[in-house]
Amino acid sequence: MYQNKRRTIVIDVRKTRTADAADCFIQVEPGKDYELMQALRVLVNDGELDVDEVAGIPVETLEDLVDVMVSCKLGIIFFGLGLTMSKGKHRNIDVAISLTRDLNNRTKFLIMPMRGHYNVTGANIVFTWQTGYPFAVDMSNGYPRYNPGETSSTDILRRDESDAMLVIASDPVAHFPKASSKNIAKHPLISIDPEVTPTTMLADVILPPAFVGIEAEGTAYRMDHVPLPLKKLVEPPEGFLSDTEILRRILQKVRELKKKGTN
Amino acid sequence: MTELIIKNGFVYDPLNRIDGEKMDICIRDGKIVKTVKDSAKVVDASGMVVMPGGVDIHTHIAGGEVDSGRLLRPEDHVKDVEVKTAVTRSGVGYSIPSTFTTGYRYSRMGYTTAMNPSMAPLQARHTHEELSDTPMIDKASYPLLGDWWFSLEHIRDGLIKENAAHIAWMLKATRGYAIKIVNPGGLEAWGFGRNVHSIDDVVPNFGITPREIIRGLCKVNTMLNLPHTIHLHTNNLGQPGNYVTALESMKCVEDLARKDRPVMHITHIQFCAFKGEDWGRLSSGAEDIANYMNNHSHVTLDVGQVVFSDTTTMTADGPFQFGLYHLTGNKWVNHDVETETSGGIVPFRYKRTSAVHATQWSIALEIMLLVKDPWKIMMTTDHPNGGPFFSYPQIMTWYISKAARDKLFGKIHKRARKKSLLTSIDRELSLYELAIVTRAGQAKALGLKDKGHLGVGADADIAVYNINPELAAKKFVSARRAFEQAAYTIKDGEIVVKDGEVVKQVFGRTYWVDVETSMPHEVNDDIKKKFRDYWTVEYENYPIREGFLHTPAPIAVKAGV
Repeated sequence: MYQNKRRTIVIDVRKTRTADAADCFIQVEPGKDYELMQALRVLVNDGELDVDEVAGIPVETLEDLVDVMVSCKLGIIFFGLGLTMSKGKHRNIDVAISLTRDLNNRTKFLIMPMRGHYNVTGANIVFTWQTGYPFAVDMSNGYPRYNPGETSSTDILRRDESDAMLVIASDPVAHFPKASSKNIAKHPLISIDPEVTPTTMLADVILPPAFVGIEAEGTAYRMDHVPLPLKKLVEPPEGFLSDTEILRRILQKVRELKKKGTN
Repeated sequence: MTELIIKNGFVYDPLNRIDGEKMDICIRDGKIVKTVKDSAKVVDASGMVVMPGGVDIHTHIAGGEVDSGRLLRPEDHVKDVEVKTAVTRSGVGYSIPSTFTTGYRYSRMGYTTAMNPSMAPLQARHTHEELSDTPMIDKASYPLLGDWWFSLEHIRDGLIKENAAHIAWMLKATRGYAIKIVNPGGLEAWGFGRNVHSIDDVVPNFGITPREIIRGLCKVNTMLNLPHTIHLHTNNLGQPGNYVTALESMKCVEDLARKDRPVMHITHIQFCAFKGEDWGRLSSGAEDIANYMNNHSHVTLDVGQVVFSDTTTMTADGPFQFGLYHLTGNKWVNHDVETETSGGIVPFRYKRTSAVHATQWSIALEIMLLVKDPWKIMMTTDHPNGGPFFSYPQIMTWYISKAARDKLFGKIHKRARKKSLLTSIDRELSLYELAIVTRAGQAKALGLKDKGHLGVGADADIAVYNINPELAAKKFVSARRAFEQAAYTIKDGEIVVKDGEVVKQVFGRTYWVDVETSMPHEVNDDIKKKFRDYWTVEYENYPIREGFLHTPAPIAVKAGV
């Protein structure tokens, strides 16, 4: 019933298919996200801009945009890699959150990251309840430590500090910077993945698990943190185990070896 | 068959009227029994205090909101880490500990049961996954149902039996334990940035009032014979002058009382016992609340004690948290869950030198000490809202020792000191009364029949503290240490903590209420359509499946409808 009244505005450096489906598309100059959002904050807080345009967008357009934002009943900002991985990085997120806070003085507004890979939210959530931190958790001291840039896997690889790697349902070889993925190849690599990927192609050992949601039960977290139950529809091919079972057996073996080592 | 005998302790078991008597407690297969064989393992509790394991009726330890709090506060964790041992897993504190750390820290204090009071129905799965990862304690969770659309519609249309059948279904669907109501009507209004300001304000979109919601769910609770009462976080929480709202909320169910059985639990009453028109004129409404409590028996309370420390506030009360964000200028997360509930998280530091914070500290103590019957009031901090749960030992010493209170009282803000009623209160809780407000009373209010006491047949959940009962009030520093580090914690008949260290990791159960109604929950096309139109999970996929919880412990209840 609300759908007809909803409006979608896309801000991007180029016109995407999402932009085609939106009510309005605003093209921002590459690398100018931070400026754009600071300008929006000024306008949301009833300030005035002394320039004709910001980030390649006329100020009148921004004023219209802010009018739409403050006059809606409930708004939401979705952001993706374009904001997190471009110039400014976490500062872009900082200002996006500040903009959301400012908007809440005028109306109700939310902000949510668009996640990339399947169930990446689930990984973050479980890490957080078990260790307090969402990713890049270093347990080598006997307690969880978190310092992205130091303890994140891409940085550990870049500094070539690890001498083995276990990859679960991920494809770092394809996605990490070259300086990091180069070092993946130097050391033993084990991959738990049902698909053929650049990472499995480099792997010394591949353990293909059953597909969760097809061949095994499980839970995945949606990007808004809602857990979804996943059903098993068919039996996996013979000998294929679920991720959980593979990890359980590895853990069991590790404990056996540790016990032997201490005796 | 494992047998254990706890010998020669001073036993405090208020539900069985045992007040410091020197006696032995026998245990077989996780239960308390009359006698054991000579071959039973002996726990020497000579000169020590033996109590049932602690029970916490209200502590935010798991779920979407708590996890968002963890995510928001790396700076909170880094100062307080839990190193792994041969039997325990590592983790972090401080105010929002990771799940394993939560279990260990409760257990070290001699606690064996904790109730998670705030669960958005859509996030029940998440909450239960976290609870399954919380070791050492038994637990349960209360689904947020005070702004649940179907229930509000039933209340609006006067369909009380249908409402009861629906709530029974919801408790099963979410594996929930009690009906939690937070700022009734206010959360619905907050969906569009508004709030309600009294129990007679009209709730947008539904045309009913918070009063009708509270009364409607109170009647449903009675009809379903639920073990606990409705669990209410009042309207106007955290607002100056709100003690009136708290009193009105209590009064609005007076006529629904059944003999001496309570029909309402108001949680963290400190946060709704503020007198005065604004923050500058804030004073204590403790006397008014206590007077009412001393003349009525249909309400129980937990205090929500404030502790001077750095903590994290988190409630489903979105508008309140938004106000707190404005008040503090601190970072803030708003955590709405679709149509169901709101939520907010704001880090907060309670300072002795703040007149408001010090007054809150005082109000909580005043209520605890002015309510004469300890069965009506329970110790909580509304963890982590008033302070982290591991402040309990300190709070216990404030209860049992005026000297302990006075020591801190001298250091709080002058204006708060002037307004405080504490100087006129000499009462010190006995260890017997302390056992009531920290375990026996909580178990009773929760309707957990096998908890909170040491009678034959009870769960063998036991705390042994190295405290000399006669010196506890005087030597409050060593009493505090003893409460922090139980000499023994026994869970289901096994020694899990010895001298404040976890020696065995166990996983407790998760209780939920399985209500049998003669009137079936009507699944019509309308309900299915609403789920399809307004929720993002369909009706068929909404309930938690059999086998999802690691150690489920359903409590079968036969409803009156």
